Amino acid sequence: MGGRKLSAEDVRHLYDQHGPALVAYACSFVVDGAAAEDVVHRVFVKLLSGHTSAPDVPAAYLYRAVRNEAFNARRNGWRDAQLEEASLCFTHRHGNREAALTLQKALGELPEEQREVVVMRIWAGMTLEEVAAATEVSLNTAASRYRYALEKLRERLQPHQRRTEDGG
Amino acid sequence: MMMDKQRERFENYLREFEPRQLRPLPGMSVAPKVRRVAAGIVLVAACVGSLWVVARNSPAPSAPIQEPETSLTARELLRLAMEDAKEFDAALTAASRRILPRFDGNDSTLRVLAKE
Repeated sequence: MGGRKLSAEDVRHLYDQHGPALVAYACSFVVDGAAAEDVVHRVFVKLLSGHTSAPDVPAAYLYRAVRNEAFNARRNGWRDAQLEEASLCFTHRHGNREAALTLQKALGELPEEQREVVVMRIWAGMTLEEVAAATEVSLNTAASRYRYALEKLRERLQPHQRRTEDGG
Repeated sequence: MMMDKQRERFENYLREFEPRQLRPLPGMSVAPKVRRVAAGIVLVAACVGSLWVVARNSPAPSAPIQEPETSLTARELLRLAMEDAKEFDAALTAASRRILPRFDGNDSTLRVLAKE
């Protein structure tokens, strides 16, 4: 952590930049989209309270904080909803709810370090270099985690992808 | 292992999924920049309005209002509001001095109006 305090504008900027991807990440811990959103909110509200110094690598800090907050939520009596009944964390551009559900399940089944990398890369738009810095691993490690994650996701999502590409 | 082309296609497919939209953080529903821009627009509109009222009520034909300069100022203010808050404040102060009627001279517009 650096010495400078985060301003409200800094927090807002981080929220805009990382918020949606952090919800996607939190969803793999708490399943329900609304609960994931609450987890992310709590992290940012703490940042807004002004007691947190500006982190050296904000993405690294935010992903750790969201993970911890999600674990706290589970410890404090939050119950896993059935995924089919829970509010979804993703929406598919062409309205394929089944594919969105499959993606959410598949992400939840990835090892945490792979899930983190793929969320940062795909939904936070970070480069692999940035992902490596945020996760404190080498570029090669980040790249191979990403590759493995994509392989696994593709296995699960391939039928949906084919249907989309066939226009069905 | 996926080929680069396949991987790129799959990455694009994944981007078709959008994470759930987050509700705004408490107290941050309107971005400060947007508030600054809105304040700038209101101030410029107020200045132009005052100028119009003064010109309409003035007995002698007054100097023509320089519309292009006003709109240029508004654009400039908008740009400054987005990029540099301090410069924006300074520009607003300067603009209000230039556009609003003066009241510190014997023949200032406000004094003349007050006499009427």
